[in-house]
Amino acid sequence: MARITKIVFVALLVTSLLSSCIRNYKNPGREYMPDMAHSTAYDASTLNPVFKDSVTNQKAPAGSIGRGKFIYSIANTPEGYELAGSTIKNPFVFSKEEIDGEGKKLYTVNCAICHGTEGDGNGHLPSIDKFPQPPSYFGDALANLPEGKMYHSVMYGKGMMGSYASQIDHRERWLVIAYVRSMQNAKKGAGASPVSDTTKISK
Amino acid sequence: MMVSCFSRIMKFRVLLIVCFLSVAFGALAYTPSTGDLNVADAATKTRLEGGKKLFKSNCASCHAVDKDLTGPALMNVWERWESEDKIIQWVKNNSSLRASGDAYANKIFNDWKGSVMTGFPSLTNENVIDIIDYVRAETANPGFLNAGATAPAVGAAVAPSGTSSNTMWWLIAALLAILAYGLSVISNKLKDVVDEKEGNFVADKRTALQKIFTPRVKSALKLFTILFLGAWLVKSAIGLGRLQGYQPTQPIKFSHQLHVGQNKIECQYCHSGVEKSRHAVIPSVSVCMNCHKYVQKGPKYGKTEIAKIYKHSGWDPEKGAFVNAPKPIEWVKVHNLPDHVYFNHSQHVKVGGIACQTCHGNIQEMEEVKQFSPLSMGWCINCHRQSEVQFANNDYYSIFEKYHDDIKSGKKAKVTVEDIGGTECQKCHY
Repeated sequence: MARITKIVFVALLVTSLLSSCIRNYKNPGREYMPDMAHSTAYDASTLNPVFKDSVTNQKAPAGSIGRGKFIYSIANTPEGYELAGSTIKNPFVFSKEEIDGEGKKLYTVNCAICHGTEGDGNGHLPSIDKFPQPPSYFGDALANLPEGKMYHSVMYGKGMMGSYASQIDHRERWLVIAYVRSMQNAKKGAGASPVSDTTKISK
Repeated sequence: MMVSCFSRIMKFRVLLIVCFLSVAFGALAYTPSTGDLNVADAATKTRLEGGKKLFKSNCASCHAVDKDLTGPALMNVWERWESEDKIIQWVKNNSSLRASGDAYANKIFNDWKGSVMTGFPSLTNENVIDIIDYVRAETANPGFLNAGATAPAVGAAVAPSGTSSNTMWWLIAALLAILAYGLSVISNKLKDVVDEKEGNFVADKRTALQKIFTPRVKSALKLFTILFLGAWLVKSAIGLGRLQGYQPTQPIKFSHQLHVGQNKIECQYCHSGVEKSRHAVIPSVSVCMNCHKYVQKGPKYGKTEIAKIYKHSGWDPEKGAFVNAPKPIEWVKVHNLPDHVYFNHSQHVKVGGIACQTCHGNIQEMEEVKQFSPLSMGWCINCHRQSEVQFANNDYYSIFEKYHDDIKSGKKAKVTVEDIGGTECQKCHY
C-alpha cells in the first residue's frame, strides 16, 4: 500500500513539473495531437512550398476574370482619368436603402477617416494633422466631378489617396460613389439633383 | 607646479561653464521668428490661422510646405514666381495662365509631367495672400501656431491588475500562520507548567521535528500534496494547446493602440474580409501604403518600423516610387483554432452582428496584440447558449416557423443560437 502511494506521489510530482507552471506568452507552448490541429491543406495565408514565392494566395493568371470580378481597362494616366470621366458610367441600380445602409457603412469604414463623415474633407486624421486634408466634395475641385473620374480615383488612387481596388469590389465601389453623390445632391438641394445619372432610382 | 596645474584645470572649467551659460542664455533669448510677420500681433495671428485653415482645406491634399507630394513643396514659392499677382492668377485658373504663354507656368506644368492642378476661382486675392503668408510663417518656424499646445498623451503602461491584492492575501496568510505557531507554542508551554505543578510531568523525548510531524500531520500533508498536485496536473493538461494570453513578437511593431485607439481607423478598413469570408483577412502591404506613402515617421519608433513596410512593398521613399517587387510580411498568427474546428468570421460579424471586441478584447488599447479569449470549446458553447439571435425581420431565419409562432404567442421570449442548432457537433466539427 505504502509503495503504491509512493509511486502515485512521485508520478504526480514529475508530471506536474513537466507540465510547468510558468507560461511564456511569447511562445505558443505545447500541444497534443498536432496532426489534428494543423491543416494539411495550405490555408490562405500560410507559407506554401509549391509556389516559387511561397505564397498560397496567388494572383489570378493574366487574362482571367474572377467570379464577380471586373476588369478595368483604362490606364492610370492623366489621359485615362479624363477618358474615365467621359465614358465610365454606373452600371448598377441602387435603392435608397442600399445607398443609405450599405453605401454609408462602406463610406464610414473606408473613406470617412480622411474625407470626413460629412464629406467636407475634415476627417479624423486631417483634423489631428496626421494626414493631408482632402478637398471637400462640395468645393470647387470635386462638386461637379463626373462619376467615372470618381471610379478611376477609387481604382488607382488620386494625389495622396491610395488605391482601394483591393479593399472594395466593383459593386461596392459604385455603391460608395452613389453615397457620395447622394451627399452632394443633398447639399445642392433637391432642385438641381443629378440623381438619375448615378443612382437610377426611377424605373 | 601643482598649483599651476590646478589653476589651469580650474580655468578650463570656468571656460566650459561660460560656454555652457552663453549657449543656454542664447537659447532662452531666441524668439521664434516667422519671416517679417509678427506672430505675437493678434490680428496677424488670426490672419495666419485663417490662412492655415484655407491651406488645409484647399491645398494640403496635394501640397506640403516642406516636401513634394502630388505637387511641389510650397516653401519659397514666392521666390520662384516673378510676382504675387502671378501666383494668384495661377491658383485661380492655371490653365488660362498657361494658355497666355507664361513661361514659368508652362515650365512647372511640364516639370510635373502634365498633371493638372485644380483651379480655385472661389478663393479671393486676400485668401491666396493669407495662404502664402501662412506658408511663409510655417517655413520660418514650423508648427508656430501650435506652440504651447500639449502633445497628445501616449497611452500609459497598464499595470497588470490583481498582483497587489494577491500579494496582500499571501502576507495575511503568512501572518496568520506565524500567529498560529506562536499560540500553539505558548499553549504547549502553559500545559507543561500546569503538568509540572500537578506532578504528572513526563519529559518528552521526541526531537523538535518529531514533535511537529506526528503521524496524523504526516498523512494530512500527503493527502494535501496529492490533491494539490492532482488539481495542478488536471489544470495544466486542460491548458495544453490553449493559448489564452498568447502574445507573439511580430516582425513589425505595429500598434493597434495607435492606429485604432488614437487614429480611430475602423477595424474593417484593414480587415476588409471580415464580413465577406471566413477570414478577417490580414491586410496586404498595399493597404499599409495607402497612408504610409505619406506618413514616413511614427511617434514611437521613428522611421525604423515604417522602413520595414517600404522594404516589403518595394517602395523607395527617396524616389517616391515602387522600385522593387513586393514581398509579403510574415506576420505571426495569434489566434489559432485547431483544424478540426470550423469558424467563420462573416457568420458572426455580418449575420450575428457581434462587435470585434467581444472575442478579441480591447484591441484599441493593445500595443501588441494578444489572445484575449480562451478559444476553448466551453467558451464557444457558453456564448451560443446565451446569445440571442436577432429573429424579427431577418429573412435569413424566416423558415423557423415554429419559433416565430412561439414568439408571437408569448411562449418564447427569445431565440438563442442553441435553439437554431448552434450547439450541434456538426455545426463546427465536420
